[in-house]
Amino acid sequence: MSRHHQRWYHAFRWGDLVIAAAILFLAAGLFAYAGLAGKTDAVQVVLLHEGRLIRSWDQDALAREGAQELTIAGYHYRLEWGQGQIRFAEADCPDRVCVQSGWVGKRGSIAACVPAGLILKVTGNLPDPGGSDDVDLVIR
Amino acid sequence: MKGREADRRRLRRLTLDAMLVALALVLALVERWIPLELLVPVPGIKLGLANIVTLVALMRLRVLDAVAILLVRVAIMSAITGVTTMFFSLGGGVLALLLMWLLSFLEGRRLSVIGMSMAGAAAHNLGQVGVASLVLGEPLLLVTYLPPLLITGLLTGVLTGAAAGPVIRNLARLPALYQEDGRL
Repeated sequence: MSRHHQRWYHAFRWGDLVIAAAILFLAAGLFAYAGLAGKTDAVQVVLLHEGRLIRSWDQDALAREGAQELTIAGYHYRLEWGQGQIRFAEADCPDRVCVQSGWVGKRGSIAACVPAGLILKVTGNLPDPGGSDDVDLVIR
Repeated sequence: MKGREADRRRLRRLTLDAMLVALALVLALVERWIPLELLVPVPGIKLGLANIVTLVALMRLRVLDAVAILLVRVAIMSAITGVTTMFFSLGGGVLALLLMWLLSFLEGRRLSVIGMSMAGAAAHNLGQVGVASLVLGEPLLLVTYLPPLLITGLLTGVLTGAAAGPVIRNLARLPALYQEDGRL
């Protein structure tokens, strides 16, 4: 049989399996670390823009359903929360990875919008607000 | 005569580089229209079709051609999609290219293009999320976003590697590009 008619899976070599195993091992390690970090109960959720605190929600606030629209760095977002979780429900940023991240509620979980420098993070302690007030932000 | 022939080959190589840049751009744009995240709900998941072009350039042209194709592709894409994404594409692309280039020395009996592609996909995801972590100052992004991307990257890496394989095999038979001894 000529090489033209080889099935694609005949191309596999043992080195490919080593690479696949190494990648799976790395992913499993990171999953395990994330699992351990997320075991404790959530204390509060913070919304950070370039490291500066914009808003926080404690567990009582997260338990009640609510929503908020905001514009940051030229992008428009809609946040929704309830039942101890929160998410980016809508966004007009370029990749919408923040919306794809879905609900976050476990401690250590996170949803980020990299183009706007925005992070929604479940944390134990309130970070230092820090920085200047020079934030391009509109909250409705 | 030899000098003229060498000039011709150089021109053909430059033309092929330009065609590969155009092909990589088309593939990168096409994959933005494929809503893969609806099928596989992993934030940031992409097919990585442009990696086919990087693999072909690495295996059939010189490493400098692959670097040039990557840089031009990222620069043009950033003009289309916005400058903020340029650093992430560059971080992922350069790391993937570097790892696939190192692995290309093992390609043959020990490793196939599919293995190179899987490693390239993982390196691309690591580079992109790593740059995002650095920019946002949030190492937690690596723990949250990277593991599912690494696993889906295995599948997309197999797909792109399997797609690149026949192109790499058949491009070796283009006499216009190569000298009789097989060198560029």
